[in-house]
Amino acid sequence: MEFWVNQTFNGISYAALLFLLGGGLTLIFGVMKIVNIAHGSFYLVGGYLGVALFAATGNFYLALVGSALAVAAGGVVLERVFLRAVEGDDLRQMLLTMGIALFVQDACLLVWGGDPFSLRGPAYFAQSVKLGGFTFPILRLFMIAAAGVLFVVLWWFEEKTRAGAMVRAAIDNAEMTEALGINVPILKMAVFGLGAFLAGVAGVVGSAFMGIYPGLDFEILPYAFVVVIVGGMGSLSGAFVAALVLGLLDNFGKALFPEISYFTLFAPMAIVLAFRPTGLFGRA
Amino acid sequence: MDVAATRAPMRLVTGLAVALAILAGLAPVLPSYVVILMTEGLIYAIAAASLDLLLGFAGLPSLGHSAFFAVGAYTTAILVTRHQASFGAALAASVALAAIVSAAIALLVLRATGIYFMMITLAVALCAWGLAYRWVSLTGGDTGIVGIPRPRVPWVGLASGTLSFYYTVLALFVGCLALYLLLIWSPFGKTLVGIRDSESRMRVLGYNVFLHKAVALVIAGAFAGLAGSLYAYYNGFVGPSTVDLAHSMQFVLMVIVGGPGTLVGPLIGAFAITFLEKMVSVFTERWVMVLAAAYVVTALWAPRGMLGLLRAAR
Amino acid sequence: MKKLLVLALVALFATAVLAPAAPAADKPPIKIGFIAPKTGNFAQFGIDMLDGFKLYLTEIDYMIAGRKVELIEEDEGATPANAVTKARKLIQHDKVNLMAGLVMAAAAYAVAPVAQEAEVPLVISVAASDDLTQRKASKYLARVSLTGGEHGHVAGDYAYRKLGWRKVSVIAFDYGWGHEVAGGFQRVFEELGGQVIQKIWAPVNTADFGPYVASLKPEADGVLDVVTGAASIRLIGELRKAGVLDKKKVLAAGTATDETLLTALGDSALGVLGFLSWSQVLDTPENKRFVQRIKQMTKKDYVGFSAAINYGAAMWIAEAIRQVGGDVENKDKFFQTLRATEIKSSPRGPIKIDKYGHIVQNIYIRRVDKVGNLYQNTVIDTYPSVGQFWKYNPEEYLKQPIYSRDNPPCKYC
Repeated sequence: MEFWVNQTFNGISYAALLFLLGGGLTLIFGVMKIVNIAHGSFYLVGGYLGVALFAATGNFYLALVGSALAVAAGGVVLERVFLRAVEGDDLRQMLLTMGIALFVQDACLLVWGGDPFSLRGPAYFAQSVKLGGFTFPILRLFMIAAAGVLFVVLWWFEEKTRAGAMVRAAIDNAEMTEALGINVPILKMAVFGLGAFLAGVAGVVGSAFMGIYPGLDFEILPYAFVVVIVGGMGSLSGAFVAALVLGLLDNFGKALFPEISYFTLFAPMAIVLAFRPTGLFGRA
Repeated sequence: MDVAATRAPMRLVTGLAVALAILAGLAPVLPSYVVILMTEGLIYAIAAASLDLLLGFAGLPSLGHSAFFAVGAYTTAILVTRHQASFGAALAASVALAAIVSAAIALLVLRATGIYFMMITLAVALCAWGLAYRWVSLTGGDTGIVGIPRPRVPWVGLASGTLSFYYTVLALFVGCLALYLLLIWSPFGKTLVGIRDSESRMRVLGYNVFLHKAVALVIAGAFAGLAGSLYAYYNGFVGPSTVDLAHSMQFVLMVIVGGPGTLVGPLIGAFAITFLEKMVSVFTERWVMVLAAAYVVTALWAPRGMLGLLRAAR
Repeated sequence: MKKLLVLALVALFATAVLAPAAPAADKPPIKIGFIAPKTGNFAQFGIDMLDGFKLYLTEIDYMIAGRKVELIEEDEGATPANAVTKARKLIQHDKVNLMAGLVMAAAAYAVAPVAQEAEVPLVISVAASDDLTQRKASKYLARVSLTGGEHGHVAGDYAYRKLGWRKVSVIAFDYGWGHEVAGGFQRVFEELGGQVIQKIWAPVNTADFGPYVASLKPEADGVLDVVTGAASIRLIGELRKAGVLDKKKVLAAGTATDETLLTALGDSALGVLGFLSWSQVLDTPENKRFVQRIKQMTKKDYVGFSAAINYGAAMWIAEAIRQVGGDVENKDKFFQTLRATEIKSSPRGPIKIDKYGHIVQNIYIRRVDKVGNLYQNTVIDTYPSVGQFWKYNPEEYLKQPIYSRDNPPCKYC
């Protein structure tokens, strides 16, 4: 019994990280239709900044929000200065984001060196909560809470607000949305910034959970893509469900069949795509 | 997109012939490291050109091309190290297996279009990477397969020296190039361009769009497998890094940087990126930034890739 | 404008390609090619390696036996293919007299045949990959770093005899190093009477060790941890959080508790035992001197294993060159001398090469402690002059296949 509870909990907390990573990427895909290879860079910079800010202020939440906002700002600048110039051409945009990703990677190496870092966070991150005979590490609880809160906020925003409706409209048909008089360029910029923000949060949380080091940007990118592909491009709920499914599958896969880890991540992707090429919640 | 290849065949062929003559003639006098990089450039050129058939000519932006490349590479690696296969046999097997795999993949990926096609092909590459990594008994897992000796080439003997291997690759490159040209000048090639420009129109005209795309995928996959086979010989080893995300993107980038839909563009792109990656590190430790800058500059100011830039400069 | 741009690019390209080699001096310099990762996941290894190697060269003014030493650094990057290309460049373009370095095991396996074919000596200074000095040994290859097997053997002995363990769970990365350490451990441990009751192979990129840690068998007396690099932070953190470190001891292999990771590991690693052929606080005058000098150079509190090993490597290579009077061009004599050279004291202790090209060295049992504000790997035991074959006869040892996932098989799992 303990095994199942523990593994489910672990799976959900891992899913939380996957959602933060993939959620931002899926929004960017949905609204801007670009393959954002620099998404890993947002994660990387977020992580490093998180460690730096925490070391400077001693306050984890300040570091979290500060880093994520900084990354978001960077994303907005990226969109406005670079991506706007190659609007409409997916391939050139991909090339551009690749160039940015490589540049950021080397810049981080220059600034922070090659040693890995770990965000210590508040003392309670190292502790656990005991509930009904089970032990739940507080850091993992925080990850779940952060992802959960962000999902609820974003979902409410997308479904219940006018701005959210504009985003949904832009995902469905950007041209039509623009024709209706909505300022799609600003929308795109804002969404890109939001995607970067989420990735930055993922970076900070990730650096507390598993450390931050050079090369991590390209290491986590496949995971982000898998969440987006399985969930469906542009669908936040899709990313949520996909992250949950993948997190649990991956966790149980590792625990029950350690031999085939990775299959537990990529096989579901292949299966989903075989039946629904646009992902679970995607629209053609 | 400008499809130079289908417009002025004579000029293209003379241009290519001159370039090839230079490549062949200059090699003995160039520093050997440069010849080594040229060999690598040629191998990638074959692969990049095959991707261009899909991306540039058929309008299929495949991000999973490294999967077929890897199939070719691993096939050769396994056959040569475990079964002492000859050069011809390994090459043929690699091409055949890559073609079969792409035929199977075609059924899966051709149900999607546009950016969804990109994603699904990316998924294929990721799955291939997962397999390369975890199917340890077949692929050697993280360590990969090492100790692939240089091949014994008919009429040449053991192509172990820098120059002998280079000329072997060059010969195969010329062969592939000829086949590519025949392909894009053929009615089949023209149909692909038609499909790229407007699928619906082609359907209305009665073409079997699905079949054409599938055949294009198989052909492109086969050539990628060939390039992969040569890659295995070139490096002397194969590992999962052959099919990781960065490497998958590499092929696409070579096509984009060079100039998609031109056949010649990707060749230039393959050389440019190979040299940028391997030569710049001689001059500065920050070679990654130089590469990054090159990508950004090309994306912003060379909308038709380097070939477009060269043409505009004429 | 565009024309100028194109012309400029072509000119740049041409100069790069046709750059002439440096003019020859009276006595040409001894060229050493060094392949280490400067970018990618292993960048810190590369930085440390070069720091250590260059520190020694600086101390001798880059002069050995009256000849200048030219160090040509190349970036191994994050893929073995890169290492192979760079090796070819060093051999054919720069015409180096010797190559050193290499971090990735796969890179070492891939570069070795290239060096052999070109008859250029290769000194591996970080990568493990046991077979390179066993079944794939060659006279051009020497290794002054370590093998997984030799460390595993020591750990197996220590676990049984000194820690009193009888049942062990192993959690290791699923690649060469993991297989080789676990294999060596299991062999010695089980021969003494112990039992390995669980072997968990985690993929090299594992982000979340939670499920693995949760499935560790409670009846194990201890855990053998063969997870290195930044992932070690994740695993040890997970072990601490899950309470495993409170109930049993962990023996961490090699650089899992490297000094460069101690800050990131923090308090979670306190008390974790490790085994490696060096420690920053190894109490010898040679090591103290080295640590002081390298700390001056890097301005950091912690010194990595790679730096110490490569300092020793430079010492050893220089000594060999001195013994042939600087005549590295006489290849046969140089190779033989290289193999026969011994160093009485380097930062890690004495250096001696066995007849397969691998170092015979001390292996230290370490424990992570905190002294004042800084963490350290206190040396609590020493296994002197450990060879790669432990107490086994080399010919007998080599008849068996290399340690892998399935060798030795897990009889008690």
